Formats: sequence, C-alpha cells, structure tokens
Amino acid sequence: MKVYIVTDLEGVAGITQWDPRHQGDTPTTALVRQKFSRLLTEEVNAAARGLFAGGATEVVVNDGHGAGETIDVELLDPRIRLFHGVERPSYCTGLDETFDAIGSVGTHAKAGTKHGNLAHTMGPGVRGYWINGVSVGETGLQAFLAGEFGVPYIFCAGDEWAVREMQQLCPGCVGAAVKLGTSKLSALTAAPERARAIIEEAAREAMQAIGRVKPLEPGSPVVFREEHHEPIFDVESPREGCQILDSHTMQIEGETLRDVLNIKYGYDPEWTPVWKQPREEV
Amino acid sequence: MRMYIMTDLEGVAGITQGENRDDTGHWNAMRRQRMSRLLTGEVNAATEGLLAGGFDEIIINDGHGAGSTLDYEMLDPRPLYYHGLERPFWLPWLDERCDATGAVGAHSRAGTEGGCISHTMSGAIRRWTINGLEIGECGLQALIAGYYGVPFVFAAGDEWLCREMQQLCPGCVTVAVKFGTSRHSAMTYAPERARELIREGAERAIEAVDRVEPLTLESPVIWRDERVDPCWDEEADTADGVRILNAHVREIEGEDLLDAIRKVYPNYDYEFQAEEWSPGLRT
Repeated sequence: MKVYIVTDLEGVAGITQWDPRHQGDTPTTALVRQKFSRLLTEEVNAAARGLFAGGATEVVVNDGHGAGETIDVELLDPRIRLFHGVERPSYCTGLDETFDAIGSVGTHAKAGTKHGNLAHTMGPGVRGYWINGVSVGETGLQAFLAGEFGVPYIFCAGDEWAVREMQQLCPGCVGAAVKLGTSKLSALTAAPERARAIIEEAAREAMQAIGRVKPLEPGSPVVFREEHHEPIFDVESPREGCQILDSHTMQIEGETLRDVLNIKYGYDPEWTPVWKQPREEV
Repeated sequence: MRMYIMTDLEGVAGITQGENRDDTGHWNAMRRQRMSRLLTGEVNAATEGLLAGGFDEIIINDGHGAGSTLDYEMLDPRPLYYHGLERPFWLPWLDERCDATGAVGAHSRAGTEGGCISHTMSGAIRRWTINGLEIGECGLQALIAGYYGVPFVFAAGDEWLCREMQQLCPGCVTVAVKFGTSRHSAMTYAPERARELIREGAERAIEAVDRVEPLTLESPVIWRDERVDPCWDEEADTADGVRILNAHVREIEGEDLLDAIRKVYPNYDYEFQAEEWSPGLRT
C-alpha cells in the first residue's frame, strides 16, 4: 500500500504565525524557523508511524510548504521517501496512479474560512479556487488531482476547519484535528506531543478508509477558476492558455486537472521522473 | 587494501541547494552546519561499509569547495582525512599506492538536465570532454585514478551521477541516495536510510576492484574545455599545447593526462610529493 502525503506548515499544532522566512535573517527568525521545522517534522513522523502500522508499505512525503524544504531531514523517519526542493518539475511530483491513497499533514483551511488559523489558498492575494464549480483550497486541489488518478484522499491532519473542509469534500476521510483556529492568528491547540499521538492514531485508522472513500474525480474537461482580492489580471493580455474573465478572475480549461496545473505553473507536460526512465545498458 | 574517497556536498541526501558561503546570516549558518552533518553521516556510513567489506586503509578527501566541509567532531576515527585550502594538488595521495577510489555526496556533471545541482567544478564550465569522453568531477577523478592503474569502484549520490559513472566505469557499485527531479528539487531517501544504503553498497565495493577496469586514455590526451560565458581571447598567445577554438572553447593537448592537467591547472605545485604518513607516537 503506497501513500502520498502532502505537508504544509500552517496547520501544525503549536504554530499560529506565518513562516517568518521573508522577515529578515535574524537570530529570532532563524530559531523560530528551526522550531517550526521540528514541529512539522514530528507530525510527519507520527503520520508515517500510523500509516505503516495501518498497513502502508511505502510513504512518500511531499514537503509542500512554500520554502520547499521545511521538513527537518535530520529528524525524518528513515522509512519515508521525501520529495523536496524548489523549482519543481510538476505539481505534486511523483503522485500517480500507483498510489493507494493521499493525505495531508499540517493542513490549513482555504482562503476565506472565517475562523481558520492562517487560512489561505496559495498566496495571500487569492480569494478562492474553484474546480468545475466546487470551491477548494490547496488540499482540495490536491485531492482532486489524486482523484484524477483514482487515488482517494483519506487523511487530514491540521486545523479543525481544514478537517471539516476536507471531510465535506471527501466524505469518510479521517481527520486529526490538532488545533481549533479562532482567528487568522490565534488557535486553541493540543500540545505537540498530544497532537502527534492523535495524528498517529488517525493515520492508522485512515488506512481503513482506503476502499471506503471514493476518489474525488474532477471529471473532464476541467474548468479551473481563480479569484483574487486585487485586480491583478490584465484583460488585454492573458497568459497563454488562460482566460481573463475580469481583472480579478482567471480561468483555465483543460482535458484534465494535470493539464490545467501544467498550464497554470508552466510545467513541461512531457516531464518524466528519472526513476521511470530505464537505465541505459552498459 | 587502500581506498581513496572523494567527498562532495551536492549529492548528499537531504540537500537540494548548493552551499552559499557568502551569506553570513543566522539561517545560512544553521543550514551549513546541517549540510556538514548530513555529509559526515554519509561519509561515516561509507567508512563503516568499506572497512566491513575488507578495505583496511581509507583516505578521505574533503573535496567540497569550502575545503573543510566535513564536521570534524563527528568523524569516524579510522580513516585519514585530507582537507583545507590552497592545496598543492586536487587529489593528493590518489596514486598507485591505492587499490581503489570512490566518491560520496557526488553530483552529476554540468549539463545534466534533471540532475540535482549538476555542475562541473564551478558554474563556469559548460562541458568537459577528454578524448571524446564526457566527464564531470567524478569522471576526472576516475581518469586520474586510472592513470595510476586504480579503478573507480564506488559512488554514492544522485541517481543521475550513478548512471553517469555506470557508463564510464561499468561494474562500479553505485548507491542512489536521491533522485534529482530538477536543479533544486529531488526525491530523497531519509538521511538515516541513505546511510544504510551507503553502508551496504560500500561493503560490496571491494568486489568491484577486480571487476572494474581502470579508466585509461590513449596518448595524446585532448581535453576540450567549454565555458558557459565567453572567456578566451582568440588573439592571445597561448601556452604550449593550448588552442583557443573560440571565445567559449579551448582544447588542451598533453602527452598524457597528467601533462594535460598541468596545462589546465598550472598553479598546482607539481613538485609536491605525497609522502607515506601515519599519525602516531614518535620516539
């Protein structure tokens, strides 16, 4: 059983502030970033322990927070294979039909969620994403992408608001609510140690949801809509493959969500990972 | 049995960004310390495996550009370590006294698309070929070793580098600790797992000593040195054996590899003798 886990930072227990990586390099930001990395990594390890205990044989973790390498590799469970770094070749690199399930750790609610702690979708300017009319955040988007490969979203660890969001989208998925957001920058939280115990138990339980939770299929074609608070789009000069509906709203249509994301991020659709390329015979 | 190991940083599991030695900030200081620990963990794992496999003497060249990238407080006590700056030669002590050579933390050569932090020496080099053989740093190491009749038998690093060395030195043991997915991203094994894989691979490296042919060259040796930016003056007088083909490309001809290296790197001290040495009580 292969499980793909996407991580983020804002839904981790013990964190209520944004990653200070753009706030200058000072002793304080460096220490805060190290602490955040440890808090995240131990939640990831807890999820891996639960998944393996529940029957997973392979756990691939995508270090999904914007910095590209937020997980502290020195603390990482040795059984995990980690995808990390920046200037990535595709969205959710490595995710394909060979996986049996997908889940997320450190999950925050989508932009506009009233009490969601650090709720947002991708950048601060985004009002919302819609896939074929369904409102999604980052994790909903990932669940749809997995669904396109027939892979069900089974596990959400993070803010209570994120868990509710994902359980509405993917009924039957198992949540590990480790904090309750009370505003953008505040939350009632479980202590990290307790959060890890909850995550481990939920992840083990989630393995039972494979087969029960339906893959979240977007259907075809896929219409992806992105709305911004500010009028950032130039109606006169749309990017290739994008329609500008008004200065706040952009839309991309494609056969598949994978196609849409390749257009959105300018990824090469022909890209193939090295582990799928045969070694030349010597 | 003596093994000579070259280390580098960019092929270590858990690293996707090159080392920045100019940024003196707090975060970067922490990152650099972590990189050193990650590298040293892999080097120690290689030592474990090599000794378990039957090598009884190991010389480790701390080869990354900073000159002292290993964390010396963490090192396995058994090998000797060569480190520091302003060295008399790139790979001193790699000569006919060694039985094999290998690399840890190794990255793919310049131009390898998809290779994690692929490069050759510095960002300035676009491509090196020697007698038509395309090489990166490990390739040059294998050629120097081959000059002395020593086979390149072991590499741990990015999958792209492993493929590169399998092509150059068929039969060598390679351990992919990560799979580059772009210049600055990779699918990686967790460091602890990477070390297990390195230990296992290094233990088998001794079996490759008789299997792998030393990488040798016919005379004359023609080294084609292609640069990213135009840097050669086509009008200028050149040293003997050096030809400027255009602003990006020069060719260096030598009677043998060492002669060519002398012309490419004239500033090394070619009088330097790497003497046989071991630490100990002198009475």
